Amino acid sequence: MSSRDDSGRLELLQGTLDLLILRTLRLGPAHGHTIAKTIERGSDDVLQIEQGSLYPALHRLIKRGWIDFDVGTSENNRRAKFYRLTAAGRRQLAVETSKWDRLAGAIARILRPATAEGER
Amino acid sequence: MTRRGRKALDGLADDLRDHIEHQTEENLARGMTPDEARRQARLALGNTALIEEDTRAVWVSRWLEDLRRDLRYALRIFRQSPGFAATAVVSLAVGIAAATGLFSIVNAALLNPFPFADINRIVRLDMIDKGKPRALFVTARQLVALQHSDVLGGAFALNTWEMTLTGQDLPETVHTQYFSANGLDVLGVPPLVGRVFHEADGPAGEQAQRVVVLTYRFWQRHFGGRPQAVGQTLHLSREPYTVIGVLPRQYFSTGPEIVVPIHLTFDPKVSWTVQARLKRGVSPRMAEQRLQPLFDQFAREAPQRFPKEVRPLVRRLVETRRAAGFVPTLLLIFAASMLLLLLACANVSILLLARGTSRAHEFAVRAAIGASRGRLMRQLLLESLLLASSGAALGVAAGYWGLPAALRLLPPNSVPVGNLMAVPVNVRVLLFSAGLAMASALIAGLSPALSFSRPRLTATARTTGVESRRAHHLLLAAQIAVTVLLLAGAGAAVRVLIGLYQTSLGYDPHHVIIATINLPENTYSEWASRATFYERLRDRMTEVPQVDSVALATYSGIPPRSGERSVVEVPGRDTPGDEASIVQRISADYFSTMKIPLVQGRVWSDSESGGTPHVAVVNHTMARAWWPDESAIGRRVRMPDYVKPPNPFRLAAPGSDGWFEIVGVVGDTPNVGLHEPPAPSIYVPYTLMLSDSVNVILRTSRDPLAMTRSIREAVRTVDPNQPLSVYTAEGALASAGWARERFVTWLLLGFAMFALMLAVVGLYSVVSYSVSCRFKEFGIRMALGAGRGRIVNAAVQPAVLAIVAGLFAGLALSVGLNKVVAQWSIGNLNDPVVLVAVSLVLFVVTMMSAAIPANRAASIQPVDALRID
Repeated sequence: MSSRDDSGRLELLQGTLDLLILRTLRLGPAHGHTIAKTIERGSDDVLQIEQGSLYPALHRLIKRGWIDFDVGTSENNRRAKFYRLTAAGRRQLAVETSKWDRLAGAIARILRPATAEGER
Repeated sequence: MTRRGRKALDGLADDLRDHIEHQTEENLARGMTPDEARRQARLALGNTALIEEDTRAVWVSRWLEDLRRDLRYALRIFRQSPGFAATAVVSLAVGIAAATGLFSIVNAALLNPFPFADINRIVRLDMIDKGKPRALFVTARQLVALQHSDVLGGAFALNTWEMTLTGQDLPETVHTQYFSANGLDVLGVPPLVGRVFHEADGPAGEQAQRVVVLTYRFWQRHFGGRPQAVGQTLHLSREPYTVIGVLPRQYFSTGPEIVVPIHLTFDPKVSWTVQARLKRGVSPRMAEQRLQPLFDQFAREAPQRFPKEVRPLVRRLVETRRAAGFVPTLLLIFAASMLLLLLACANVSILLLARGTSRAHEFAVRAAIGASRGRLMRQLLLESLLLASSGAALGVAAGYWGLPAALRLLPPNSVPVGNLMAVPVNVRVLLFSAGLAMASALIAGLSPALSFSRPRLTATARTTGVESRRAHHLLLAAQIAVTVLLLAGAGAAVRVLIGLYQTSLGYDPHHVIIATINLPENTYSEWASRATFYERLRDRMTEVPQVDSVALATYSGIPPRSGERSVVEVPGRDTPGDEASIVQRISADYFSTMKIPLVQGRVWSDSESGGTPHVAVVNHTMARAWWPDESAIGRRVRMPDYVKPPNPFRLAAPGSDGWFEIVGVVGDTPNVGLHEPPAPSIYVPYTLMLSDSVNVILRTSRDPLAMTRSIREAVRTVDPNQPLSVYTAEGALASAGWARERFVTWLLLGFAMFALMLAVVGLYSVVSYSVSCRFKEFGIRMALGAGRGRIVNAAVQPAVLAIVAGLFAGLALSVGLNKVVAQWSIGNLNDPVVLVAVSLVLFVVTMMSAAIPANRAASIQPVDALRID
């Protein structure tokens, strides 16, 4: 989907975006653009957010009740939505994080079995 | 979409624009030119319209989205094969219309024949004399006594008669319902406009107010539904009546056109029939017990009108009028209409199945690229639901508005059910139809959906080869079996009708036209003036061109139901039979006009008709029953009613002594309907008892209906204010005698024809589809040298099996059901002539519908067939 080809940057796995949004909002309410930037910067610009998919993802999370939003005024004096984590979202973040840890660990073990074998 | 969703989506475009601005600022900070910064920011976000759509989609249910897509797909499929869709929709529509229409009739006739409030408490009062029901007539004083009974919440007198409306171009006969002034209140009839009359408008013993309440129909016709009608004056029977109100549409929607209060005179000679409302919690049996002392008192006070051992008879109005004997037949027809609906559903099933076969390829491909079973099943169900709901909508519309309209087009009395139009639309009918529609959708859609939602991938994806078509043929056979049953029923009914047409009538109804003249109240109220008037009417009629002969009859003379029951005594012996004899009051030329043969003796001459002893002629049945071993000629009988008339509307000839000498015997004609043998009947000169109604019977030398105008003209020259109604003897025969048979026959015939049509359509489509599926196979067989005959045979063989199996099953069904059905239906399902005829018709028609597509199989060019795929 991406029209750019910045080598060295990674596209997100499906479903991961939701987790990252939740994690970002744990730091406090944020504006849509801020969320995208936070994720990119937090990964040292390795992760590349498909900015267009951010909004459907935000609405999906609102629909599930994991995040909510307030309408406030942004720095440039415009009406803007500030998204924040709900209690359910906080719980979900814990669940998803532990799931992710197990998944990442498992994938890592499969991808680097050589180290373990080499030690023997 | 939820409210939350709407709130979240609100300002989405702004959010995106805001996002771009932020990105632009960031880009500017990185040192881009303003244009480049904005361009890059846009690029980073992507197509905003697409994002908006994706975001919105989050809130729209997936299920609904799919449904929308399936619906669009289904519509496209129907557009591609409009013939199929139209056939299915029309099949269902006719099936549902028939069932709904008949349900309306059943509803009107059985479930809700009267619109009155709390109808089960409205009763008719009669009496029992020696174990037999007899009509009860009470005087005003007796009515008052009944009104005070502790079991009745109100008793009212009623009567119907014609009034003459004058003050317009032509005098008009208006059917009038008379009620004692409390009647409308007891029945609980409210006014639509103005008011109804109450007790105070006509208390017993006083002249009732000259007020009139209009029915909705009369109001519409004469006043165009204008509320200003109230307060206007109508000239009825030469008296001014003030219009005080209009009744809602459902009351008296047939029959009476206006309602007026009865003048409850205390004259003991005047009496009326009675209806009443039972008090709450009082059963008819209980009311009978409690009314016994009152009836005993009536018998003591008026021994001439009440038998000694009188017992009251209280019957619910609903029970007395429920088109009595017709109920089981109606239910039977209703069952037939349900069968028809089932056939229509089966037919749609067959169509869907046949299409399913040809669409198996499509479904296999869809399944292969990932459509779930549920998805395919839903697609099929949706298609059938779409067909069913369109069919149902059409059918319900036709059943509601089409059927009553159709019934209105029929000649009067051809539907043997009263008050049919009273409840045109009601919730019960609506629910019933909606239920039927849903059921038909499920029945029609489910079976193909079940069998084709799990296509055998490997088999069907490779080729549209020989799919098992057993299901079609089973359905076809069942369909044909039911069609045979319906055809047999219709055939039996037709035979009965033909039989009735061929029954020897004993008179010649052709070229006979009757003008019935009902005298308005208080006109020609002396015997002499009335006799002169009738005499002048007859003389004037004979002068009308093309009239061969003219006869007069009062309250009688028009078969198949004519004359009045009256007591005839033979001195010194009991009269045979349980019931009073039928008396017909006629002029001497009646027999020659009606062409009733004289069996024995002679008919009186005009000069004899007033003399003493009075003369009489009896019918053959009476002569044989009363004087089996001797001649009836010269016998003397006494008729007590002819000394003193039973009511003031009849005028006895001066010098009438009630004794009659029989001078002749004539042939029998039907007098108690066509279904019963003629009852013993005696003919007496009409001049002895002049009623307020006379039938002028004319035999004409050309089409009698074409003479209506000249007959009306003739009456007008005698009395310009005298209204009349004109009808033919054949019409009277049809409406009074054959109405039921004709109704049943036409309905069953219609059903059977429709069933046959459905079978034809089903067969045709199944054979066509099977031919198209086996196109390649037939091509190969022909290429290998198979002849035309073999191919036709192969194509048609499974269908023939279905036809033959269905035919025999249907015949077995007809013979088997005959016992059950025979007691209610008309005709005999066992009739070999009918069964053979039905089998022949069915076999020929169905074979033809199978042979036409099969023949197409034989004209396949092998090269074309092999080139496919």
